[in-house]
Amino acid sequence: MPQEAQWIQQAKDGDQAAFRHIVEQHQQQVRATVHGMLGDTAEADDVAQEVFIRLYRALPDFREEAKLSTYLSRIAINLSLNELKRRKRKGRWLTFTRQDGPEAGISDQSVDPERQEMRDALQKALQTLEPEFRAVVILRLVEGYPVKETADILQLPPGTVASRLARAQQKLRTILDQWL
Amino acid sequence: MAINPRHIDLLYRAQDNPLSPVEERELALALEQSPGLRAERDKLLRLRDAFGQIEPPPEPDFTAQVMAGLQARVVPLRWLRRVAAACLLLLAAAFLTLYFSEGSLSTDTLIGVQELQPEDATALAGEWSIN
Repeated sequence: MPQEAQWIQQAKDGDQAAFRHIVEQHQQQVRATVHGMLGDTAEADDVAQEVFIRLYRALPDFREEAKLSTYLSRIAINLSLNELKRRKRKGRWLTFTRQDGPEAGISDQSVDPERQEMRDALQKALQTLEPEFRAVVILRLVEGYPVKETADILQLPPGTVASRLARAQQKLRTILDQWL
Repeated sequence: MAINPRHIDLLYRAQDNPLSPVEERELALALEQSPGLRAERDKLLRLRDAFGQIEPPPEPDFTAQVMAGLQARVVPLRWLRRVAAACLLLLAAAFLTLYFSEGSLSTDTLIGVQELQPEDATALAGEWSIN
């Protein structure tokens, strides 16, 4: 039995150490998805943590035929979209990174400044997309899911995913021209 | 020389959606003939590559925070469900005991009081007023 399948079974039996392994294995993927959707803010990590808490609650019903990474991505996207709706109701539509907006960004001291600037530019550009376009870019380009899997996660036809990707990339390409 | 917008469209579509053979040939020819379109393709590929490498800022305490959140929110809830289930079992056992000892689960049996008649109510009211 593959290692991850073992951890899932052990976590279902109440083994929290096994669940910890699952979190460590997938946290980067989940955080990348949520940060992409919400921007580099402290509340993005709150939402990312909630993804794993939802997974823990759903473990008894989790079927091993489904890929865990896909399942987590689906939860991450849904919770992020909920958070964006909540922000919209509160009148905070765009969230910028670092010093640019009302949200205090998370600073990464370990990355060289030029790479950090590029990263900020990419994040800022992502936040200019409507959530439904942002989701396809994150799943397809950031997480690297094929179009079909992206479509399954978002419950959209593959043609719609491809079309949204094309439009989103054209917009991103214009915004990020100086970096390319 | 301006790039034909149709070729830009084909270029972007081709990344994630197979083009028809006719469209593929048209794009290939356009790329061959247009340095501007080739430059656009190179920028698009750099854009996709850049997003493929984007990572969130590191958070070394993330796993610990998830596990702490579980302890605070999920584990107590499981204990609460077990206590609730135990209470229901006790209640069911109490009802069964009463049923097998009294032979019924009527209101009289449950409350343990004989059915009152109207004259009983007036007699009781009289006693309370004296006291």
